[in-house]
Amino acid sequence: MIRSFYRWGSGLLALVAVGLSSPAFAHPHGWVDISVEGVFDEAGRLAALRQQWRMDPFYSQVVMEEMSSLDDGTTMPERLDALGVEIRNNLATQDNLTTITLDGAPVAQGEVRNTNTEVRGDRLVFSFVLPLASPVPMAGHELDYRIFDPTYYIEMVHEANADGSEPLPGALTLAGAPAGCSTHIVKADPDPSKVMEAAMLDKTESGEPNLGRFFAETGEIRCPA
Amino acid sequence: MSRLKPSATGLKPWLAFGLPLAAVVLVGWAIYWLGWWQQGAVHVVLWQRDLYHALTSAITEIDRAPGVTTWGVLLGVSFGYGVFHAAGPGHGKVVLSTYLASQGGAWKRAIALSALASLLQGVMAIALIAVLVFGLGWLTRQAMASVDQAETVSFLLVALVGLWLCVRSLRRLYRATFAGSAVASEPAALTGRYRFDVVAPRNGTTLASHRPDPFVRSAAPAPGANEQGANEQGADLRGTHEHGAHCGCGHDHHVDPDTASDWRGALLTVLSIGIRPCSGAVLLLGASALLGQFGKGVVAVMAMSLGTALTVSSLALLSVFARDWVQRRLSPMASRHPWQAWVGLAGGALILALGLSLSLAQWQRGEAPGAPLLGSPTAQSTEAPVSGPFTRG
Repeated sequence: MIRSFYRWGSGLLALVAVGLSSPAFAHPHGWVDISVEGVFDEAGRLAALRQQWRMDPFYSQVVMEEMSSLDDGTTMPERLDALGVEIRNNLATQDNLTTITLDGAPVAQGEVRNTNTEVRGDRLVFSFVLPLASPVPMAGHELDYRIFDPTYYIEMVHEANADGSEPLPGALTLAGAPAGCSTHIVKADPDPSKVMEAAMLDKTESGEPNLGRFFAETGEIRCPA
Repeated sequence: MSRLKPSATGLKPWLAFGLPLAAVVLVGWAIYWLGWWQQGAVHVVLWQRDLYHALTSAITEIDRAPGVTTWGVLLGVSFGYGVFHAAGPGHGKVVLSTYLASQGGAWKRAIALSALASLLQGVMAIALIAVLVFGLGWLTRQAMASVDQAETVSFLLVALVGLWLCVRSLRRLYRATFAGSAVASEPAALTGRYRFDVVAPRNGTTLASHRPDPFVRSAAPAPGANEQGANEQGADLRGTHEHGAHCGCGHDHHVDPDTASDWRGALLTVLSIGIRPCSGAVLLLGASALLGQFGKGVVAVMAMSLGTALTVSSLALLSVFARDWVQRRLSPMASRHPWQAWVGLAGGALILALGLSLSLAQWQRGEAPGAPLLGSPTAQSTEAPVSGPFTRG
């Protein structure tokens, strides 16, 4: 009887252990459609990433409700500007949700400028210029960037066609680039075992699994030598 | 359904247990080794994402062109969202499975509790928006932030459920130890009744008739017992079991307080899970209200709850079947011993630990964590708790 108790109990424990240790997958509760423009300077160096974030319709609705509920005598454009400043300040504490690498090495970011917030159709659109700390020479180099919410609460994807299978041509463009530079958007291809590993590790260490990076797309900018 | 014979009567017990167990272990190991479960989990996340997109566009579409097609899409997508939303792990499912596996309960009960918990989550989301937004004039974002508070209440209730189950099991163990073998069988009797209460014969005071488990050979009821059992099933199914001490049904009434407390425990469990509305549902309702489509949002959330109920009850059934199967194979005579109370105690302790650790984590996390986009609403309202719309929920 003792034996059966042990086995029964251990089976129960195993069941619960599986339930508890399975990663608390944070699936997205909202999304942002992004488009990016690589801005080059006269010397042919990449100077900034101009970004446009289109918030999903639900989130846009909810923010618009808040904007229109204000009763402080400000005009709508003023309110939207204030919102833009707030978003910018929030993003500044999180590296603007952007990571940039040149030939695999991290690239430092400057301060976000030229923020703009507007309503287009049923979507709230936030756009800004993210300068690199110093412009990087691109000839013969490979620059990658990824824009994602580490917690994966918001999904960030490049503007894509209706079924989301192909990014739109306008999702990643270049301005003032030397001839021969090319762009490419690489879809996320999460490695299940790594996702699991991270989910387990993060859960025990910091409480929230940071899965966003596994589901992030990578934008590539390449220039010939 | 009541007179099923164990299919493995002719087999040696260890074979009957060992072979299927080996098969399950082998299959489980293969799935683990091949990494299928990991791929499955990642796919669930991707499906959840796609369904969220589809849900958003479905609400917008039905706003533009209401019709059979758009309604069909909305209901289908909502249902699917519920199914896959629940497929991810969550504390509710762990609590419910642990509760069912350790405290006993028939498959009907598993389904009832799962469905109730899932529907309650949907109803809570609807109530939250209806009361806070329509009633009190809160912003949708503020209402969404209140999901956090509901979550804290949920965690505390989970701890309470665990504590209460522990206390109950300890009381049973105490009674089993100090009140002799007849009472020692009580937890098992309770479990047995709940599992097969529809056909439970209740005409005796012997152990066998108090544990009407058709899978246990020794529990064959005396002829005529079924009639009395049938007469009582209505009362038992309602869970109230109200009849006087002189009703002539012939069984000891000392079980009844436990029966009632069992139902209280079940309902408390449902409440602890269901009190926390799904933040996705709250967002959907808030957005549909803003679009002037609150009614459609409510219908979508109910379809979502049905989907959630499907997934959660499947899981609950799995834990009930697993428990019954192990119980049958390993311990046909287990009812004579208080080991089920020990299992109940272990389950209660696990639920208590889960509730406490979740509450603690919530408390340590403090106020809303850094929201990716917006830390707090720009609205100057002070009457409502505020935090970012994209805070975790």
